[in-house]
Amino acid sequence: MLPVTLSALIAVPFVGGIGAWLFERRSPGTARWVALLSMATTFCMALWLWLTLSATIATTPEPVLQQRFNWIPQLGVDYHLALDGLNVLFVVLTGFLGCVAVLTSWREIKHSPGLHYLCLLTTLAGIMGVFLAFDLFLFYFFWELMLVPMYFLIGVWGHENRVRAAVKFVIFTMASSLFLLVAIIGLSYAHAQANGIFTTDYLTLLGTPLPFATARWLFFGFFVAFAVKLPLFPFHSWLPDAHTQAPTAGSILLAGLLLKTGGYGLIRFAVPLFPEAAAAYADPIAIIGVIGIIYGAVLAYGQTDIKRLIAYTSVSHMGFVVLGVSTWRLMALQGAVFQMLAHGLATGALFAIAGMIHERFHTRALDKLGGLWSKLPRLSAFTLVFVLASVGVPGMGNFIGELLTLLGSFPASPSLVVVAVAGIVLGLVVMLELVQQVLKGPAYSQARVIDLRPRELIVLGALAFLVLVLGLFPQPALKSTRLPLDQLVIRDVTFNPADPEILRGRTRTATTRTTASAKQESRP
Amino acid sequence: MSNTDLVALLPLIVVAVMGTVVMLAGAYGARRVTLHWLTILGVGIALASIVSVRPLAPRDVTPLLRIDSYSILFMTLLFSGTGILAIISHPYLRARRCAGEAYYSLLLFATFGMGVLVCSTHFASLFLGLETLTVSLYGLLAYLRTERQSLEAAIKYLILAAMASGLLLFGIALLYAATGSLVFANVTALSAEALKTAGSPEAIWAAVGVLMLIVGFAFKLALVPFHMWSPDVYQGAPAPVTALIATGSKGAVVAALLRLLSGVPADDSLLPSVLATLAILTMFGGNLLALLQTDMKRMLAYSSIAHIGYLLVAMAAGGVVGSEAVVFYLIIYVAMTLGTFGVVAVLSAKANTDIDDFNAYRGLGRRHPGLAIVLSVMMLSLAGIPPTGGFLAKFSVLSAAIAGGRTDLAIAMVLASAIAIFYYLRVLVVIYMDPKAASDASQSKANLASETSPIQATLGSPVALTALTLMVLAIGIFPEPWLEAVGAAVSSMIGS
Repeated sequence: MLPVTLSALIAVPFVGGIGAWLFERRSPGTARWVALLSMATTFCMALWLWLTLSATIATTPEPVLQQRFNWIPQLGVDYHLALDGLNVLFVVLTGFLGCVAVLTSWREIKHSPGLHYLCLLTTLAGIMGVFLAFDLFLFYFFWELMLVPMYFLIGVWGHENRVRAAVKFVIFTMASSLFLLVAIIGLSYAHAQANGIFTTDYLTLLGTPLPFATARWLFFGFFVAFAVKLPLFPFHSWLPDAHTQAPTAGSILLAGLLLKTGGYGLIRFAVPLFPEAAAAYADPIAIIGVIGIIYGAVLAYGQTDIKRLIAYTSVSHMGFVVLGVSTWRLMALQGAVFQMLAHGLATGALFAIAGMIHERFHTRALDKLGGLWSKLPRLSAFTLVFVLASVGVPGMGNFIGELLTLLGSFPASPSLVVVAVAGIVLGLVVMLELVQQVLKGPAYSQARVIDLRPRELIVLGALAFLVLVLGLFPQPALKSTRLPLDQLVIRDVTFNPADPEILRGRTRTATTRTTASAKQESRP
Repeated sequence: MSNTDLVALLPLIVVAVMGTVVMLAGAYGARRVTLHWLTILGVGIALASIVSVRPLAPRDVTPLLRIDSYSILFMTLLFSGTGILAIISHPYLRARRCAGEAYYSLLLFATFGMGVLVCSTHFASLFLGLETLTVSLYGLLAYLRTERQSLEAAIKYLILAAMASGLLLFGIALLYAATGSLVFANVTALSAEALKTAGSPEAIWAAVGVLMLIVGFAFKLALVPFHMWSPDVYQGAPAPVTALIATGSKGAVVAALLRLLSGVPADDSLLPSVLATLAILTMFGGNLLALLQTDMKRMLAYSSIAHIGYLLVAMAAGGVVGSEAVVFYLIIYVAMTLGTFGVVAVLSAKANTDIDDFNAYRGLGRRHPGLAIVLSVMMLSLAGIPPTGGFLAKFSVLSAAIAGGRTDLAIAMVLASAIAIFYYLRVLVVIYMDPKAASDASQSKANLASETSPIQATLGSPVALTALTLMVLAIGIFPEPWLEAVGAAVSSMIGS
């Protein structure tokens, strides 16, 4: 009975989406409940899997649950899903944020809600697949699959510039994914040449011996796809548009989950498959990660649109993930994963709040909002909670994530860490500005609005609860990721026995340059 | 020629006989609807006879034709395509009050030509098949003889296709002079040998002959820079005929070309580089020009040029994997292109002119949700996005390129398809998320009401389009049986 559940994590949202679409004709209400029910089922299954398997997960780095059968034998492709301590957290997060997304779009979507839920839940099914796939072909399949319904979510139900944003989103992500596809095929052929078996299975391909010149290009293919999704500094320009124009549920999915697929891909695939190439490029990657931290925060400061502002802070926060991954040490990696989870919750919540504000005042412009605290005390209190979470106040999840990332990266590149800390300060300024503008000051609009409805209260309450739980009791999540990440780190160092220092030694030479460029970035 | 040989040729014979029957029935005043059903019946019998012929394969019927799994696969594919075209054509012709006798019999004769092409192992049958196909297409293109555009397309096609045929024929003659044979296998082997002895008259004849063959095929397949006719013809032709040119005609020519090239010795270095150059030009030319179009059929014309470019990538990569990729790609290409033009034809069924302009597709998602879904699946497949067959086709071509050591071509293909995503998505934007739709919904409704609102309900078209959509999705999700069939076909072809 157990192995079925992994596929069910993908199938239930998908079937629920179809169900919502079919029930829409009966009544939009039924469609909503079907969507919520299927997402709640998925979340419960994911949670149940984690709880029942957590004891096993804590003792083994290997996948604890697998499902596998031949899919396309001619191409060496298996339908191979697996669950280990690393992806189980993302699966649970996907289930949870899926419920949040369904609930926040409860009243927002006026026009064909059934179709909206179909797109929403298909995206979620694709994201689940991305986190669970242990076959590169299958991974790519889901990786592309989640884009199309997301494209429709932005393009059909988004705000005023939705079409432009949707097209930009798809062009950026799909064009970069094509390089991933070529790299996957290239890797499989390199493996076939070395071992005579053409396969796209992740566990088999791990440790394929590659000449450095080949590995470099293949790594580049993987890296570009993940960097665009993350998004990393020069590839980020799709993100503010997509996040801003998407409907609330779409923004939550984008910020909370889609960005995480990029970080997850780096940790799971890009670096472990090409450790030497990754090590050789660790410095530049760390540097652009730090540039992203500063750049995102600086740009966020200049925004006048509340969703755009939050979107740019995402760029900044994802920079920490890249910094953590580039050093490839256990603590930094754990921090990066933790940061992704916490950021998913906090930023998802901020986007939900932005949606609630937009629903009440019909604007996202910061200068048309103000004095919310006196009018909407409950909403404002929650806003403050998530703002504090987002800037990394101790006791909240993001604090643990950032702290671990910075601690873990410090031995490798102290000066980059110093610059990154400056980024935290900038992020704090941005968020306080947001609080100042929106919650304090004179009320801009005199219209009477109601405070949080019970449904919204439940959503924000649950999110705040989880943010606090992550911050106060980080051990379960850390314990879960410890062994799988440790194994990845050890494997890659042993795979590169000549110089285990390579991962930490090099960065020092480049730091002066970074600081200079980072300063340049921060000036305008 | 024994009885068994005749039985082996049954599919071709059935198609030819049914073409004649349809023509005669038309002459005796059969109604359009009867002819339509007769055509479908003919295709059905032909497909049934393919099943009965299967045990006889592989079999050489005279030196001209060879019935093996390869030709059987392609006959199945192309005959089914003709069946779907016949179904789609009916409401289209009915709306234009065209008599159908010549149309349906020409359709069957064109199909006969395609069947001969995919079976041919000899230049004589290749040329005869090609001419049967092309001459039928002249008639079909000009079928709506009151339409200026249609006539213009027919004249353009007539001149350029005749020129291409002339080039082909001249090339064949030169190769015959150089090698003394017209059988594919002998010609390829002997001319490769002749080319090695530089300076001899045989070498010169063979070189010029090969060049002319390449140019002739490039015209037929609309490869850049020999593509100029294709957008005009696609735009001017009646939508179902455009579909026939894009799928059947190109598919059959590629199938014959692949069989011809399979005999080229593996150490030949010239051919892959020629193919690679043409592939790069065609992919980028087709996709870049498609970006500029505002007319559905023209855009699809450039898109199909680009897709033949992807096919050439696999062809240039060579080897068994390359041939398999070509065949697999072709199957999906035929399905998705038929589906796309099928939607255009169904939408054009009620109008007096074909629905070409992108504007006419605004808000299709609201007006005709079913057709919109079909068109979106086809666009996603053409763009190569999972879970459609187009993705697997692209995957297999990329695999073939990398396996054949042509990473450069793989990268070029990736860049070209990145461009292509843009214009395929534009169609989805127009269908589902037209920003102007909200503001001038009433106005556009008024414009479009006359054209498309009550599509005349025929049972056939929805069934055909649904079948194509399911096929494209099935190949994308469960490709195993298709890949197996392709593998068997290619091994039978290469073994010959």
